[in-house]
Amino acid sequence: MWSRGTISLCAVLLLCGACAADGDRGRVDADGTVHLVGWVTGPEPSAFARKTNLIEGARRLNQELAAAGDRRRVQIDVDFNTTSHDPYVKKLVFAFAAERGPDVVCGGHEIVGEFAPPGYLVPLDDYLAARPAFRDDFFPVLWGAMSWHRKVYAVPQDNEVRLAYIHKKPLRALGWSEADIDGLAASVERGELSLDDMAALVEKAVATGVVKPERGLYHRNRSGFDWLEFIIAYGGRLEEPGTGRLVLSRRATLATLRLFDRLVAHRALPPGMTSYTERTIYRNFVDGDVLIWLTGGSWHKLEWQGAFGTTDAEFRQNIAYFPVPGGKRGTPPVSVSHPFGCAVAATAPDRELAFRVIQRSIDPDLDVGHAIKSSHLVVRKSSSESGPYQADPFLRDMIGLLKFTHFAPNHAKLTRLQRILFDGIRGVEVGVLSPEEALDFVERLCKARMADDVVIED
Amino acid sequence: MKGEQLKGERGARATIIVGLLLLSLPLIASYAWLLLASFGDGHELTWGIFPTDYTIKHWRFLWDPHGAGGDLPSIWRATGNTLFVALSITLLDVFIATNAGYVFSRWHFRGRGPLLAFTMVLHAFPSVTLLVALFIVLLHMGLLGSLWGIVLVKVALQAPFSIFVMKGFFDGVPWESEMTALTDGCTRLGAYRRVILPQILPGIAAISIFSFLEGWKEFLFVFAFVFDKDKWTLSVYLQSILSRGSVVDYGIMAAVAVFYMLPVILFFVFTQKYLMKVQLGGVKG
Amino acid sequence: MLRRRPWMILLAPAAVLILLFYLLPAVVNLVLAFSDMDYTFDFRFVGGESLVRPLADPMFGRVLRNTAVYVVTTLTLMNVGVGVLLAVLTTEIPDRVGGAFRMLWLLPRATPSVVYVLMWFFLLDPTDYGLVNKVAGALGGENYDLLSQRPWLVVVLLNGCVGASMGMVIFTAAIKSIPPQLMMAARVDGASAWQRIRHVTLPSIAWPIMFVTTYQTLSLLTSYEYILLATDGGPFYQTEVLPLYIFHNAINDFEFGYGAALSIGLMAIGTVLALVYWRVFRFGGRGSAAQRIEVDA
Repeated sequence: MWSRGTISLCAVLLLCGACAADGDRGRVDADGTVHLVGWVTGPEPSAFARKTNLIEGARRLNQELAAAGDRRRVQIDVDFNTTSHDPYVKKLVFAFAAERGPDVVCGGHEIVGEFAPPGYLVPLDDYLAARPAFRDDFFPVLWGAMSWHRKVYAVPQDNEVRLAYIHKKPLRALGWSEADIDGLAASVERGELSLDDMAALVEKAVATGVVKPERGLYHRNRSGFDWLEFIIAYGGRLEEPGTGRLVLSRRATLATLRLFDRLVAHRALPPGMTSYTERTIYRNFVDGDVLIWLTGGSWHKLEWQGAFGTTDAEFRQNIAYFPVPGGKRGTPPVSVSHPFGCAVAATAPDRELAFRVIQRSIDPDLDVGHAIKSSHLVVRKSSSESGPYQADPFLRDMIGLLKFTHFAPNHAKLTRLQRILFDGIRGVEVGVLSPEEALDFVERLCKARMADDVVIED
Repeated sequence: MKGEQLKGERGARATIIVGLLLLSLPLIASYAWLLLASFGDGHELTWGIFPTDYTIKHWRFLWDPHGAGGDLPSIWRATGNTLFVALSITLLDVFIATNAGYVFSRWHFRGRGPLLAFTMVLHAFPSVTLLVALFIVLLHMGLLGSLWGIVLVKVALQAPFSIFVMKGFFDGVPWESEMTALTDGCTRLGAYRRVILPQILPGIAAISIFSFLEGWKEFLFVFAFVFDKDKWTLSVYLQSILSRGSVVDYGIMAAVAVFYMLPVILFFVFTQKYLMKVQLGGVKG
Repeated sequence: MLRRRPWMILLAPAAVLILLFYLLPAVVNLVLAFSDMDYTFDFRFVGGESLVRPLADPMFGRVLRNTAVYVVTTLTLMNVGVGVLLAVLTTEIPDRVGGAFRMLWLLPRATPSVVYVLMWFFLLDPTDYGLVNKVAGALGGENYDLLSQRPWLVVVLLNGCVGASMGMVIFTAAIKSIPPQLMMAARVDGASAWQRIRHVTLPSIAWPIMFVTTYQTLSLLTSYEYILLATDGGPFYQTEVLPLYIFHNAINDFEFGYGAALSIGLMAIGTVLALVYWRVFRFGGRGSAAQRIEVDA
């Protein structure tokens, strides 16, 4: 049994195992070099600038330090995460618990809601107060998204908006003129088109055969912020201002459930929507076989261009977009933004330097460069005036949508509430629950799983 | 009569093969698709499986570290890590299980029954809950962030099954054979090597395949307990490509997946060839 | 004179490993069940609060029912049923061909779960792109959405194709251990293939079948990975089984204390089942064929 082959194999393995030594941790060298570890997430490769900007920020900071005669230098290693946000947060949970977390942590603003409460992140108010020009250059509403309990924990990194996309081919087949199509977004913004009107349009497309049954409208297949858009559109609120508790708004939730129920009942939406893969969803939409892609985001244009090779011209020719309409006629449309931010961890060896790396990483030119390459929105007022940024008509339109935008509250249990809501929607769509039963289900589950963290109101 | 019997047998064999083909049809279609997709260009597929154009660009990750997109470690590094984990688990598991299995088979100690039952019951513990508990245990042992921790955990989780299987195989070797060898002047170890080992090799083959597979596939523990990309195994590597929540590049996914499966296939062929040989002659009694 | 030490030495590595990395975490888990630990890893003792929460959870009963259906169906149809079928059939044909089929059926186990599930998505895609729908379309039928219309079927098949390979490997190993003289004798006696299978092959895998049944019952009871990736318990809790439920609560929602409490329930069920099997299959009484005449080495 212990042949020579086996023994040598064991020896090789032992050696390999010995190489499984530990990596660098954040530390300060004797010569004043501060080693930092940063984690950023894409996940898409086009967002790679989130990593390179941090590295460039460190380089610029080092120049600044040298010019000021400061002997400290920063050396930052940045890890670019390529999974979706959920696994990224899970990785952070385990890393922070093992005290192997990064020193600079960038991600969607919900990382503030997750990691500020247990004290993993450092409040940045003092650093910002000392730099009023820097702080004031950001769109003020973004600081709210980066706060928890009225303290700021992250510097905004980029932003996006959520919106609905509509394919022009079926619209034209329905008899819409180019002028009608071009005026659609404005019409929604004026409140002339409500969610129910939109549903009626989709149902008409299916009924007249312009699109095949169950191809009227597609939405995303997983839980997330997008579903909150409908709660807001139907007049519900998400957060209780004084206490910061989450809110379950019964009327708005019921209206949301009823919306999807009617779409499925009219065969406009496939009952199994949530088991579709992204590839299937996007392919069918981009090919013009589906009228509306409801839960879209400003990054989808770039994604489709990457995956399917759609050119800018083809995109303008075939696809239009508008914010999610309000629940009733006359109410403003809704968008939800999911800005990304960079935070400093409590375990960072030099918190102020870490902050300054972040500060330099969001210099206006870097802000714009990243935004254009990844089809995101800039976060600084000075960046938004830049020529190349203004020159992109799509990005300009996206900025225009910002006036309707809301942010999801920063709360550790937000994802849980989102999931429960999503489960309710799924139950209605596959026909297991009626909208009223689904509302009851959502309520009971909120009470059972979220107890004091949620307030249930009409 | 013999001729008829042979013809009947051949007919029966043909039927069996056709039957197996039908049963395996979904698997055959899926794996054919996977293999073809790793070389396919573009989105169009004829007959739903065959790409219209072929390319090797999806296999770029073999020589280009950024070939799979994003910020991934070299796939060879990940492969090395995975090989380390899988082989370590296999060797350690075989070592432990053959020894323990032999003991359980040959030695009737007090409490053997309950201990054996307990070994089976261990399998009722779900790995998902052990995740958090193991995290805490490994954290206090200082084994977090290291692949060794994962190896030890996986062996511990795999051992009950392997011990059970090996005990079963040892039970199948009659005591008489062992006895004869001993009275012929062999030492216990000699008897073990000459008489017992050949007859339990299929058992060793079986448990080593499973141990290797378990080590090769392990994802959750690596995901939660390892923090450096340098220590990634192929399963985490693959997950980081696939869980972007956006359109999956089937080409790269298929290429990495095929690459991932090759060592397992090789290992299986190896165990089949060398370990499944049952002695035909020389078995007394 | 009985010499215990060599035996203990042989058992020691197994004992140490299992103690440290299996039992110790299980004890930690037990302690966690009395807390409401979440992602902050702060331990707060709450007595039995987490333990009684499942009873107040609206979906718990359904989850238990789903688990029972899932385990029984997959076990009998696929893990044991198809496993035996594959082992017997592939050993009846020439070994090259049989080995090739066995290799094919081992592939699902070797395929990373995300890829494996994507392959099934390719087969089952509800729009025109799915292979099943392409075939159905060619035969003049409509598109099927099996994932959401028949989630159970999909889950059982998907898991079963992976599970069957364990039985297949073990049964094959057992069949190959049948002394060739027995097979030769049966042939010479003029037995038909079916009779040979019934009287020689199947009895030789009787014990392995019992073992696989017991072991895979527990495996199925604690497995969730493929269901997570394929349906995530959906479309609406139809395929939510207990281990997946634990995963959702413990890992998705970071409720470690609650997850530990739920898993104690799962372990209790598994332990009871294991002990029942133990009795019924008389594992304790088997294999005592080897007689203990101790010989000092």
